[in-house]
Amino acid sequence: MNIEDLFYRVGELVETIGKKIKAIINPMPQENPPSFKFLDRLLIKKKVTVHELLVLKVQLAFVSYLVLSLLITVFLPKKLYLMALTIVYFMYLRSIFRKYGEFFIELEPYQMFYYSVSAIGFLAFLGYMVLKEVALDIKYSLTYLGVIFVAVVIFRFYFKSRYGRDWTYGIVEEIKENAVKISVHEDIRANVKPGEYWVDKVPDVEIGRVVKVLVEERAFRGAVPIKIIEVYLSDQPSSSKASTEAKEESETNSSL
Amino acid sequence: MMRRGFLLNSFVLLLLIPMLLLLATYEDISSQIIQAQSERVQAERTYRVISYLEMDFQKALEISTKRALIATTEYVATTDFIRGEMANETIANLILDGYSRVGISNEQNLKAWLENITSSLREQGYYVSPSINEILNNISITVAPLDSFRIAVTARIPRIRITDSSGIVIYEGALPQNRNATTIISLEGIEDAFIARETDDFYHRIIRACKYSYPELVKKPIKVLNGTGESDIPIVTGVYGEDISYNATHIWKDSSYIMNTTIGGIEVSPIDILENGDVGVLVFDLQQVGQTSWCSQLPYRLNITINSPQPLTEYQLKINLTSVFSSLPNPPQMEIYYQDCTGPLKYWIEEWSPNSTILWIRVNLTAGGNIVSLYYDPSVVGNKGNPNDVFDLYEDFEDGNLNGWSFSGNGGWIITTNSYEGRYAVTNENINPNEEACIYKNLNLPGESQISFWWRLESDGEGIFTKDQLEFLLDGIREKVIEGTDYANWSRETVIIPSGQHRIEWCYHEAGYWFFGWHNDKGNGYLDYIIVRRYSSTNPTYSFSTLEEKPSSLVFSPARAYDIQPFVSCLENGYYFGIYNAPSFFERLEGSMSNHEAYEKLANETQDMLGISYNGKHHPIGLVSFVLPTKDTRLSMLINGTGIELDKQTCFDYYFFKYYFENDNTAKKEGFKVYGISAGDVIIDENFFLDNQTAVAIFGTQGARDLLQR
Repeated sequence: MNIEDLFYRVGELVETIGKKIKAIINPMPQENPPSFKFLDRLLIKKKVTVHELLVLKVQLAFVSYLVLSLLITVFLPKKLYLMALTIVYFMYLRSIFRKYGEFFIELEPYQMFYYSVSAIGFLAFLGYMVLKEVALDIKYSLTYLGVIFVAVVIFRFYFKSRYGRDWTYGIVEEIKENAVKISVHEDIRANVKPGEYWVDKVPDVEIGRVVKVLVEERAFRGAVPIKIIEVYLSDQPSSSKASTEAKEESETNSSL
Repeated sequence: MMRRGFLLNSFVLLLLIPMLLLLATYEDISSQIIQAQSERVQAERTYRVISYLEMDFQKALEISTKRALIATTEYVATTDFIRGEMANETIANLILDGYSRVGISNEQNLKAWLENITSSLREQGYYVSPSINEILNNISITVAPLDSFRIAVTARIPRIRITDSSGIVIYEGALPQNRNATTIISLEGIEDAFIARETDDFYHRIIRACKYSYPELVKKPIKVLNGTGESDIPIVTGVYGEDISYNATHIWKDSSYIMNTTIGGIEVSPIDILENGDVGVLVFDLQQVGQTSWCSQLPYRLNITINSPQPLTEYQLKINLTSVFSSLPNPPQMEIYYQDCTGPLKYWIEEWSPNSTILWIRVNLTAGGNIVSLYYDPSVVGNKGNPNDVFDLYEDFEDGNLNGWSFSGNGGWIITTNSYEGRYAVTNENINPNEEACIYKNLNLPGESQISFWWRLESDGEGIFTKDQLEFLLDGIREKVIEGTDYANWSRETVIIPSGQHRIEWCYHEAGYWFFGWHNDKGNGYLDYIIVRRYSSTNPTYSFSTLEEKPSSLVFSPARAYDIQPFVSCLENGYYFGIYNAPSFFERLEGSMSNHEAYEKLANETQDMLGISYNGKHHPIGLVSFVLPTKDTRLSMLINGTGIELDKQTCFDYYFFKYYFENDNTAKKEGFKVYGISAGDVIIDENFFLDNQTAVAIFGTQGARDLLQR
């Protein structure tokens, strides 16, 4: 290798690093969904959509952030460490939302939810550290814990009031005599977990049709679909990714 | 229903925040609890180690002190007094490292303890620093008399560091932490080494406190009932319940009685105070009869008024009583007192005949008139008194020996019947021509004195160029001389001697000449009747008053009844009293009272530190027991065996042994007989004498005045 080649390679390396830093700082929306090499291996036998994998990724990132914050709070109680972790985490979160926002079914509630709860988490741990510096008594810790719990509950109600709804979309998977199995995506607004649910059969349902289903909220366990309230005969709810991912779409819809 | 349940619902996600915070709080609480427990365990461990060390140090100090005391006592009893350093320093050294400069050793000491404790702690994983020697050098220790019967030892290690096996310092500071370690050791049960040393380990006495251990501070070992009474005699002695009777109101013996008995002004019944079998002394204050008190039991008295131009101390006054006693063929029983009944005075009758009655008394005189009263009983034949008590030196050689005299020159002197007075005088041994034979004695005279003696020279007059001579020398300087044949008869000489240490000496010189051989007929000098007495340039004069007769019945009031049994019991058992003017335990180990003030100061400081003063007064440190020279069989054997002649030396043990056994004349302390012990009808030991100062300490001022036979 001559000198010229060496300099050329160094130049390329610097350029690559610069691009990567730029990509981290200012991520650009991607046309293709990300590859979930690790998650795919874990969920190989399950029917999983890109939306759900992205949500899972964000959830894992959030949980990891919380766990690392906890470890820092307990073992390395330095505000600087927590801030550094938070900056890295937020950059990661931002890059996911910016790069793969198109693949989320309704990006805004997810963005708002995760940015908010991440901020609440950061402030909670930061406040805990500050509290430990000024007051060691356990009663202050418990009071602070109560305040955070109340803040979380308030946020929960705020989020629900702003984005919440008691229905979601599903796709008919199987039809029995009086029951229909529908497949539902993860929907943060309805607080429905992805899965397949049996609901009562309604007229006009056919396999592959998109249906609007009523959900019922259950404490701590999320909501579950209980009744089909509308059958879309064609691909009507265009804003929903659910419709794009329906296996077989109807041309008409009928309200029940 | 089949869920793809790998995602969490939003509420659960939200709850994760407080849940994890709860986890952090839980961890925080747990760590706080663990830390607190750990700190408590550490504190407990430190406390345990330090408490153990403090306790053990205190115990080691106590054991080391006891061992040091035993070692020191044994050394003094068997070897010698502690000399060259104070006894408390010796004991302190023995406590510290087991060695003292005087050569005593003690195996159990703080050094040994430090070695043991360091090793023991090392086995438990603790390390002590600095080194043992450094700790010993820095340790502060004080051995002080606390009071008469206890000593106090305070000690502290100013800095010690204890680390555990991981190098963590678990303790650094003084040991004990906030105070001195103080151990108080009782001296009771320990042998009084002073007595053993003085008697060469022959006579022993264990220190045990009398029940009335501090008579100057708390209770005196006598019970006193004040009252009024009537008696013919001033002092009555006896045993309660035997010859002295008592009931609820009266105490009596023969015609003497006491009533209205009180203690401290409160009326008490004798039954509540006195006990049968106790030795009792009834004292009746003499009521005024005319102008003067009747000081004696003897029925007659002659008041002698002595006019002295100057104050005279211990002066020997010659009184011619021929005109008074010409009708009495023999000396009557007599006692002589000062006007205030102090006395009796020492006297000696030089002559007793119808033509010449000469009395000598030893008296203190003030300038001007002094009255002494001569009490006598003409119906009882008395003695002539003792000239040795009266004069500073009285020598008539009537005991037939020359004890106390020394000789120099070419020959000695011997007893001879060729005397001026009595049976014996002294004369020189035969010596050769131009030789001499001297007899001498050293005197210590407290005042200007006068020596008088009788002598004569028996010579054949053989000397042509020299004559036989007999000379008197004072401190080696010839003062008087007789020579040749001119002094064949007895003649008297007097010489004035100033106060101080002097040597009086008589020398005989044998004369002779050589003419084809020595020619001499051996001569002799004779000497007799030597008297040394105080000198006064102007002799006092005296006059007699008329004879007085004691009134038929005398009323004495007030009166006091003493029960001296508590003192007698302590005396007979050899128990000790704690008084101020007596040698402490340490001084007894030193055999000297020269450090008394230093020990007293140390004791006062220690008492103040420990807060054990009694009613604002410091406890005394002096120890005293008394001896019964005759009744104590073992002591009596020792006294007889060593040829000690008892006189009136106090029976205060320290002065008694110093004077008799160490021949220390500075320890001479004359005492008085004590009623109920050595005077009166009850005699426990006739040779028991007690000096006034100690009597005041034990009995109080009034008790000493009443109980001592002056």
